[in-house]
Amino acid sequence: MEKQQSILIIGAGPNNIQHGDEVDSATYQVATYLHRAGVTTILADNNPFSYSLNDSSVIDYSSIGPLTVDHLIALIDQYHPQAILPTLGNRQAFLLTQELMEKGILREKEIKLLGIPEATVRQVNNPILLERTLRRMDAPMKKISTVNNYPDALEEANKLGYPVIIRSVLPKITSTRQIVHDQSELATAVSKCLSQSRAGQVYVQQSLAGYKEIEVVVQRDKSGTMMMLGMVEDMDPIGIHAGDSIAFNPAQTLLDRQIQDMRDVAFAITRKLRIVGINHIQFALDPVSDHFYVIKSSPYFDRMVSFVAQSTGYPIAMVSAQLYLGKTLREIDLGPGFAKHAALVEPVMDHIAARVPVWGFSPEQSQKQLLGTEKKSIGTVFGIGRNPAEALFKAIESRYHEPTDFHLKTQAKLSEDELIDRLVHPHAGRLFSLLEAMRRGYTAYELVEMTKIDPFYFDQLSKMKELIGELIEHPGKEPVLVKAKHNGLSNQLIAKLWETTPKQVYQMMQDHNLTVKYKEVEPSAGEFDQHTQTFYSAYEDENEALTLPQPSALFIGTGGLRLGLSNAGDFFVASMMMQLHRQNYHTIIMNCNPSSVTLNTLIADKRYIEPASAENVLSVVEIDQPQLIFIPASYTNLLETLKKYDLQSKVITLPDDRLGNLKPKSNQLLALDYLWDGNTAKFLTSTAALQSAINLDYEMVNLRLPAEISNAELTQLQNKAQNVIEQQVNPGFYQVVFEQQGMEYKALTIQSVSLPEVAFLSKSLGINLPALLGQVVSDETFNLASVEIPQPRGTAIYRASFPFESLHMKTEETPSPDKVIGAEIQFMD
Amino acid sequence: MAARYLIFEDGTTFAGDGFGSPAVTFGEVVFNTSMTGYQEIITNQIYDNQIVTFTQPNIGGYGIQRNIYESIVPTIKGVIVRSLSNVATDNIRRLTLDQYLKQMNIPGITNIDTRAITHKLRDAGKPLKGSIVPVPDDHAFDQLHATVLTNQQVAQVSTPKPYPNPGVGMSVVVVDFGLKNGILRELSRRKCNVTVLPYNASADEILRLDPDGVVLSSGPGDPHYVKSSVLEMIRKVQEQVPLFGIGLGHELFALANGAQVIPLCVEHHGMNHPIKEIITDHIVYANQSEGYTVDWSTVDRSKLFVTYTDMIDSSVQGLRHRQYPAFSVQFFPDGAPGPDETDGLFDEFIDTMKRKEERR
Repeated sequence: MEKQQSILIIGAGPNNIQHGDEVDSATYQVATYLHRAGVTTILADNNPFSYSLNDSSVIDYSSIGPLTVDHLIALIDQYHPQAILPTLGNRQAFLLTQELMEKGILREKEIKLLGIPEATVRQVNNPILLERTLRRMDAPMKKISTVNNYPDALEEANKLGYPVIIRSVLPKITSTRQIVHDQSELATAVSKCLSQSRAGQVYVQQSLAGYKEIEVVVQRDKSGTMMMLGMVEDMDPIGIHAGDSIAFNPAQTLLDRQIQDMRDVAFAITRKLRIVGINHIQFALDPVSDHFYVIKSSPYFDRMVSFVAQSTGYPIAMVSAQLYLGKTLREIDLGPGFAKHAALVEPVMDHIAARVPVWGFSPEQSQKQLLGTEKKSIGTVFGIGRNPAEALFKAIESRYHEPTDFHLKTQAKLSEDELIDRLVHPHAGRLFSLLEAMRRGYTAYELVEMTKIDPFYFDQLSKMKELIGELIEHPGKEPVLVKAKHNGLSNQLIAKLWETTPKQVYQMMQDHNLTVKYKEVEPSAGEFDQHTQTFYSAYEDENEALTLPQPSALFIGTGGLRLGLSNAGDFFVASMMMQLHRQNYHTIIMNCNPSSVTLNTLIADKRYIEPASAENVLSVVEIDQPQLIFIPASYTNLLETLKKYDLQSKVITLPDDRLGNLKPKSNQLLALDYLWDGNTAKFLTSTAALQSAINLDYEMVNLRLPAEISNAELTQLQNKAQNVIEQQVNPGFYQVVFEQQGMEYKALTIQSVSLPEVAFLSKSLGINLPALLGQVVSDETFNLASVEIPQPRGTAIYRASFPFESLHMKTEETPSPDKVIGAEIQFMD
Repeated sequence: MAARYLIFEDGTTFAGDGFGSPAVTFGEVVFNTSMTGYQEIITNQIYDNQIVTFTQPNIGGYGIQRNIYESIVPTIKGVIVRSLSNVATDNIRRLTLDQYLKQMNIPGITNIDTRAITHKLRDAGKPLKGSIVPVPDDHAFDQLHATVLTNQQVAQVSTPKPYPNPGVGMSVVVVDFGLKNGILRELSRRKCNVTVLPYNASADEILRLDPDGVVLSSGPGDPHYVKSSVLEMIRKVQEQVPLFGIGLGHELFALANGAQVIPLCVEHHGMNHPIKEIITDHIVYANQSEGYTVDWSTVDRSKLFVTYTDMIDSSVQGLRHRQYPAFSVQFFPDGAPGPDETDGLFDEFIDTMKRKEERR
């Protein structure tokens, strides 16, 4: 192995609509492996919610600072890394890397790039360059030609077949792009785009809309060995952003011939770009002609890579880390639990994973959200089952904390015209409209015609529709209950359809000896005796989940990303898990977000990919008998339900991630933040609200730490605050909020510190606060009073960002804490 | 769907629902871990006498397609799968998998714990006989115990009569031991003029056609039960023309050249094992379907050398003759289903034939 003494990892920055939490988990795994190999790891990031950035046990130098080339140069001067890893920071890291290349820094300092050659960085950053390379290697690309008059455009359009896309070459102001559905629309589009073109030319380009979208993840080592790790198929055709589509791994509607052809092209591209590590390639497949086209190649960690890793059980990030250090696949040992050379065995699945998007807004609002080529979802959840419908049912139920009824009643109220409109113009709740259409007697072929969705999915939807129908028709009947459980329906949904309680359904299952089994997500489909300790439920014969040794602690993850929480929830839960892990607890996680850092094998000893419902928690408790169960306060339903059962485990409610509803009169607010263990109120720091630049209506979305107040004032306020904190019953993070009125500070309220703020505080103080809380609640010998809270590393600023622009929402939307999509942290000089 | 049961000779029973033909079926139960190409697997004649458990959870997603059969009359004894889709993808005239299996009289069982079955087969350490039945009673088990599976599978599935697959390129004789269409497809892509002969064709009958080369096809069962005259044929033919053995053809080529072939404890059917090409040290993936393997220690190094090996079980995956232009592979370089990474072997075969032609 080549020796690399230190490696700079370029982080991903604040979450936004394009990317969420997907790289945090990979970063943590890669950094852990590098660290264990004796490498000094430097992580540059400014995402306050990052778990990796807070873990000094694997990141030697966490550098919180703006993701700009100047800051990176400063870091390079400070730490002298021998190599830079650009694959854990999305596209932005590639752009920054290219800037470093162009400034000559890499050459001057003899810094190597890991995983990606310089030429490839340029190509990934420049679609035109990449397209040229791909055409030169005869990869199938969409057809495109340049013309300068209408007759030529007409000839090209006729050759391509409608619809075609007309675009200006070198557009004058904004890029004009017109979809032309038939000849009658062509002349207008061409003349409009011609007039917009500085070159007097337009592109006539084949439209891929309506084709199948296929995503492939492949892997290559430095010796050229290549493997396919997964092929994921989107249910929705091209025209809807891949991130907004329901997706299945493995692909279900593709012929072997098509799969092998795409595999060959994916390999050829990865070889041509000389990538070491992973590459995610998207294809468009025309189901009629069988032709397929390369859309995009993304040789970095993204949501698809994490989905493939979680759904196959193949430890992609851990393998990539070793590839970056120069190992070949045949030299990689996946460790205990895996067969010899398992790193070289292409993962196969004996289960199906369905991924569904999570929308930013309430279900009612989301229903109306129209989908298109721009991404609208803010996160994903997934479900695993032994048939496609089961996986999909579970995924849908994972989407919200509360049980869903599939919006059956609202759908039933739609008029025929409204329904057709929803089928033809896809919106966020399209799946439910499709079910409703099938209920109303639309045939699969009619729906295929209207939606361009493959007939396979209508077979699945029709099974789902029939099952729901059967349940409604036969309340309380055992055979249909058995069938429903085999297909992944939750007791909550069954209870809703039967108009009874989940507990009654649970009782009925007990009476009929209908017990859940757990199957392992294992990448050889049972061929080898391998164990990943990742499980999903199935109502079948064989159970594979065995009781973990004691002591153990079960954590319920915060699920898919939500506005307001962003991935602060994952940071919080993962930090506590790691603390319990350090206290020799065996950690168990139940979560359904494929990108979550909590599903990391280094943090969780055992993983259940399940929606966090009472029945799932109860079955896991029965198997693992954890001493402690940690549940986020937002799962009110779950917490209530569990109270009704006589559990041997102690349930600990994780701090509320929802926020208080402050309506202060002025914007002169400051808060004193404490950790309270029941005896000691430990002062952490003070925070002050910053005026929001976006909106003058004051909301506590931008923060400054510490607040600018004198020591005398601080002591005075501390005395006041201390009293209030000491009246709290439960341990946790609390803040007392003061409002400045004239020269006076008046105590407004006491509230839990929001999880995003806890994450911000942790980064600013350089201490992992959730881990501290973990110790408070689980270690009786722990003495909080003796803990030294570090001084802030400087003045830290927290700036929240909002998705309004990306979602084209009305500008009068107030930027409030519950709509935050991401945030950045910065230290003032 | 009616309730059906999969019963094993060791007395175990798995419950499921029937699809395809309602007939009672017997066979050796194996599992296949491929995630693609159910139609090609079901129509591969290598599964004569066998009931195949698909570990991929769902099949039938695109119905039956007209251009991907691996044989026209499939001889597989049964299909086991967790979940079945009922899709005919076309508005023209296509069948669902269920309809097709009914037409072909092949029973299937679904909604069954295929992962548990796979674990059972993996741990059994020997091939297990099983049966798909409507009632798992004593009678069914008695019948299963009494059933003797034929060992003359090749004779059953091979073509009784020669037939041509004309082309304009090299002339190739394919000896049919249970031919997989993929072999013909690859030869046809290379424009070969193919004549398919029955498995028991003699060397004289083959050489009389003056072929540029001979392919020994894949096929089902134990190579030891294939007539010994076949081995003589191979020994004679390899001296005269380039020879390419695939699957069972590879095992017969090994036997003809003095190596021994032994049964595997667990049959291997899948496409995800790394296979190393020894001379280049490259790793490739290919469709593998094998119940037998060449015993590496018995390979006579004066005659043969090993060209490919499976990195998981260290088995022999390819052989080449030292004196003659003859080579063979255990895996299926024609894919269907499976990766294309080894289809260059057909080009190599064509090149070998051309070089031989030039030397003449």
